[in-house]
Amino acid sequence: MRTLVSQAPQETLRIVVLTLRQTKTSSRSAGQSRIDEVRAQDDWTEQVCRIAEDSGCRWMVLPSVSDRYFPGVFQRLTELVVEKGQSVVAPSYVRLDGERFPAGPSPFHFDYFSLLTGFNYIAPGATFIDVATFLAAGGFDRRFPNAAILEYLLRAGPAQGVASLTEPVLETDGDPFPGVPRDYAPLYALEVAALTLHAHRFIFTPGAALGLATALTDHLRRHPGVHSSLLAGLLLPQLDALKREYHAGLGIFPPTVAQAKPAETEPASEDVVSNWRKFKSRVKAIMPSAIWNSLRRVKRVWKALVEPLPDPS
Amino acid sequence: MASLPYLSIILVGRNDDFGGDFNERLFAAAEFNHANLEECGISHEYVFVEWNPIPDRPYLAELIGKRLPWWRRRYVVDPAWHQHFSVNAKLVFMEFFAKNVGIRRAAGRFILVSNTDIWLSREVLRVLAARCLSKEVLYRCLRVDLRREIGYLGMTFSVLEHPESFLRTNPLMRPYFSNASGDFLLLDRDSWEGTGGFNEVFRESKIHKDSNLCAQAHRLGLPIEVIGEVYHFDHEHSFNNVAYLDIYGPNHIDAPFGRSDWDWSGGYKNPDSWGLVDVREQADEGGVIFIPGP
Repeated sequence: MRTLVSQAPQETLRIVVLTLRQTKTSSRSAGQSRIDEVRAQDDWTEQVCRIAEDSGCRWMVLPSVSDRYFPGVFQRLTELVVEKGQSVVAPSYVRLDGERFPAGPSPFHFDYFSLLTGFNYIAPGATFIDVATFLAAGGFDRRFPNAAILEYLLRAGPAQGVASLTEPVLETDGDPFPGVPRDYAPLYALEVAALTLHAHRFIFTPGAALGLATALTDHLRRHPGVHSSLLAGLLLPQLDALKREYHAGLGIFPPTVAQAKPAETEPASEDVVSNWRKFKSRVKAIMPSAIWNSLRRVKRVWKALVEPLPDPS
Repeated sequence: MASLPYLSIILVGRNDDFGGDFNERLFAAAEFNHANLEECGISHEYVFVEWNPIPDRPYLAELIGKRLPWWRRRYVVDPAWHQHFSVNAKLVFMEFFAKNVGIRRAAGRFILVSNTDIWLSREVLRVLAARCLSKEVLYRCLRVDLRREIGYLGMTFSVLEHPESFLRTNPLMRPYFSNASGDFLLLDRDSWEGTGGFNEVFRESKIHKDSNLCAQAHRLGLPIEVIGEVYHFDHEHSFNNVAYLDIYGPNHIDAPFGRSDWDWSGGYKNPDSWGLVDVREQADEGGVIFIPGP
């Protein structure tokens, strides 16, 4: 929010915060940005349409809590010469392990096919939607509240419907989806899969499949003990590799990619084993001991059934 | 003097019942697309090229003129040209030679090479209507195959888009986006000239020549952009249906479309006369333009 409020020119910027709390409107003195808090309605997509229409603004952007805008970004946007009705997308930096990396193709441009295949490298906060075109196109599709910006870009984007800035406008998290808070990653991944399934007539696209697998695996790590240990055991050791591969599809290449090998080619690496041990100890820590002991007995019985009998000699 | 159209649509064929009901599918798709293009205000022309016509059958070019009077530009290429170019007796229709003939004679700023049983989607029409196509970009579409049982007469978008109509999709992949590309290749006229058209050097087969063009475009540095989808009605002679049958021998060596095992990712350079551009045409009273033999 601070990086938004600090943008210039302030008199051209209106900030509306949709909140679940009781609202209070904070009017500031003339010449400063106005922040309005508005109670979020059930159909927030329709609400956004009304706010956009009433605002009289040319552009609309929906940043996430993890976005940090760079100074002067909005000034640059107002100075950009674009065709009337075009929305504008911009590159972002993604924070990974304390460092930041650019996302998207180089040189940056709007790559419709990447989005169509589920590799959305454009952070929602880096998408400046032309309000007039947005309203004429019917606003957001309420079937996809968590991937609303992506859905809109898939509609508005073909054949130069979207222009692009070349300099990054913000820094955000990519866990694994740029600009999507981690808690919303599963919902976002599901909606991206649904969108691209529809576009490709029910074939899982590479980006959607990878994003879904990565979000699922991260979810398993965050909620140990809830899910099948077989599923967790299969996926958890692959989490870092899945994330790296998904980020590679977004054009994000942290230096460790060059040295890392896919986990499946190292069947007995120390990393895999230690990750499995960590997982086991976490599960044991939260599971009732009676259940844990029963599982151990089941494992022993299973091993006895499948392993060959010892040679009597 | 009439202004040049924004879009030329190149279609080829002959009166041979390809797929069982070739002519009727052509008429149905053309009527649908033409009506929608007109409604969207997209100035366009249709160009039809008949290659190696069947003897003792009326020219399909003439049948089109009678059925669809708005379709003025129709060419018939003398069968002698097929004999001249063909090196494979089993290859009865050199589709991409015919398409080159159409490309070279198209008047539109942008030229869409497609097939006679392709229905354009709403999003493609929207993109065309916006008139925001760029030069030096090859535009492609995802081809969605529809079940033949739904029928193509009286077609509407609600039927085309209905999930029950869907049979299969032909997914696209980088870098060539070449799957089922012959059904939608849209490029500006100068860039078509720059690519040299479809490969006329390799003549044993017609299959994969569309992919070959995509590879050529990629090699020449043309960006390839996907702008939506088009619909295709499944039929028994579709490559998707015959590709895995054993009836045509290994690598389809005996197929009427030619062998499938050639390296389509390789480059080519057509002679400057590609598309029979230097041949003097002869028009008849019915509006059909004949391209006489060598």
